[in-house]
Amino acid sequence: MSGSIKYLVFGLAVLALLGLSEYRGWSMLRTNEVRQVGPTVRDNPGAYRPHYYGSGRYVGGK
Amino acid sequence: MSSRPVANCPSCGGPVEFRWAGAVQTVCTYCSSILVRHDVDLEAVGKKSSPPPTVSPIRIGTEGRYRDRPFEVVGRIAYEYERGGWNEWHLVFGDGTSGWLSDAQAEYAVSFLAGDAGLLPRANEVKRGQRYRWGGTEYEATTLTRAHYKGVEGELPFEYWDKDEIPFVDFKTEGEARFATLDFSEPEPLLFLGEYVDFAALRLTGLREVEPTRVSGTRALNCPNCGGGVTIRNPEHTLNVVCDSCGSILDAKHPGLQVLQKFRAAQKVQPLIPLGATGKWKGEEYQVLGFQQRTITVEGIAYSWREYLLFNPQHGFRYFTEYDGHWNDVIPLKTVPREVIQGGRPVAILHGETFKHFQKAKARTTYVLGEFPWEVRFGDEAVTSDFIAPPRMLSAETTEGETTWSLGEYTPGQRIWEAFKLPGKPRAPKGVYANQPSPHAPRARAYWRAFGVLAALFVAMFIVRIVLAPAREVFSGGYQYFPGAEGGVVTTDPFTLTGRPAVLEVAVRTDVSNDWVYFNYALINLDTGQATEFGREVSYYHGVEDGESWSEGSMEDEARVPSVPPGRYVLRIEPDGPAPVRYSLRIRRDVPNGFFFLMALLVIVVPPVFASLGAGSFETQRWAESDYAPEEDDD
Repeated sequence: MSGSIKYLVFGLAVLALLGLSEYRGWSMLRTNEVRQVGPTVRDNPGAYRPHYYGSGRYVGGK
Repeated sequence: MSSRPVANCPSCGGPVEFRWAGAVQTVCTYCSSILVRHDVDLEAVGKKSSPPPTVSPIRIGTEGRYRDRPFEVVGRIAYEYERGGWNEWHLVFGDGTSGWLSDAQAEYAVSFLAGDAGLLPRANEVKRGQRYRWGGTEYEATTLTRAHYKGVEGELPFEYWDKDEIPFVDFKTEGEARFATLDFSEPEPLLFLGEYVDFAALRLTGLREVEPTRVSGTRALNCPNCGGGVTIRNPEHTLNVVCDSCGSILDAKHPGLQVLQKFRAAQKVQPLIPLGATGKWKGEEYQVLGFQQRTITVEGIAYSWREYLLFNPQHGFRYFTEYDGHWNDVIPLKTVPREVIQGGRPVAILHGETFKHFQKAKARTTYVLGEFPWEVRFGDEAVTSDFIAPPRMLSAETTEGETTWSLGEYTPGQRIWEAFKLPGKPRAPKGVYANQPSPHAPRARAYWRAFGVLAALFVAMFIVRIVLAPAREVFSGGYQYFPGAEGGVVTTDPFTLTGRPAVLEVAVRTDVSNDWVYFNYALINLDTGQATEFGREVSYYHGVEDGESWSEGSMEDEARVPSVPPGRYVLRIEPDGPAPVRYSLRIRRDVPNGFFFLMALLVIVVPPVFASLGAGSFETQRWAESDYAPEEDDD
């Protein structure tokens, strides 16, 4: 198999992966999951706090 | 043919028959007297013709066809010049017209006297490289020769027995292999126009029996300088032969071999293809007859390459050249390319193909072996100019009176080894040669073609995705945040997601100015109690510094929560920041991810980019050896 055919196959694989990522709704966002949050959280917004509460912002600059 | 005029030779009384009614001069076949015809009364002009032994399969009486017109060979003029010779065979066609078949080192051309050529230049007016237009065709002067007739035989259309040295100018054309000759043997110049022809295309019959050039044609003699054995493999075409033992260049036409030049090379060069080796090349059998090493000196460094002269009786001569393991198959050209300047550099255009100028140098013959159909000398010099269009190379060699063009094609040494059944393997090429085809360029081209296909597919997929993606808004609302105030934490109204798991885009637009705000999000599935936390900062700074405005960051942000399953959700937002912020929120489901498309395109563009970098590096190495090498920084 010539290099360009291999490359074409590689490109199609990337295309397929892209299609799959779009279909499955993948994203680069880093998230944390917390289970068993009470359903009353809407009624009492202050009752729920994220586990890692606090600013993730880098504050060393401006 | 009884209708042919017959007379008796005034010298010996023998019958003289004219094959052609228009013949002005003939040679008595019995006593070799040159006879000039006055109708059919013949005058012996007191000269004996002694034409040199023919080196051609053609002879008087040979018949053939040129452009479907039958002809018969009735006469010959043998010319000799400083470094060789050629025959002009006088042809008589069936309709009584006459022409000439030039036969020079197995290269054949048919020409006719152009009677209405107009005002022709004088011999001293023509310079090599000058162009003239005759009969609608442009001709370039390529060879200026001074030749004398060595002998005549048969019938000729004019008296040709008392000629002295005569200037000739040969011309070639750019397109078809046409040629012209200006002959200054008469008070007024004569112009002959014609074309190069294949020997086989002439369909010649009645040829002289030519001894095979190999084996039975071989002459074995002794070198008059050192007594060593000298073998001439192709005595018919060989003018010079070099003694293997002492290196003397010998006159092969001299019965006992005459020393023409003695030289002692500083170092004996051993040909990689033995002289006399035969092989089938491009369907024809060729024999290696001669070998020479030629050297150019660039910036004080001598570069030598080696040339092998090959011969086939029907197809003439060709060469193999070798430099540092790089081989070229070279044929002499019967046309001339057009030289022009393109992009500030000289190029040569041959049959529509553009060759870039590569190098100009003075080449010197530094070693010779074997035999040659022209006179070679140790120390011969010619100005060489190479133009390249890999895998081909056009080369011009210019001496005082002649410019010859040849076309080389880069050839793997292994092919030559196989064709000539040489032992072992050719040595591996070193570096990059001028016309070496780049192994990277075709690969890069193929990669870019494939990339074009893939990019088109990506774009098509992206368009389809945008058109078909629901990107359905499931929530929107506006809020305000006050630092430290209770109620800064908000939770959206519940919204429902349906269908397959899909990306959820949380877009926020704020009014931050020279400030920041950090949003802590929690997407909470009301059905399962599962929360997905993520945080995003929005910061926007701007101002004017030194009279120039600047800005950094953005008042907006988008976050994409991956693979959110269907269900009922709320989004909890807890801002954090030093200043009050008003913000609006929009949540959309199944939004195309342009970033992924961009990343995918970047991934697939890597292989063609690397292939192009490889091709570029190869070209840099190629041109580093040319007249156009980038100047090195001495620092």
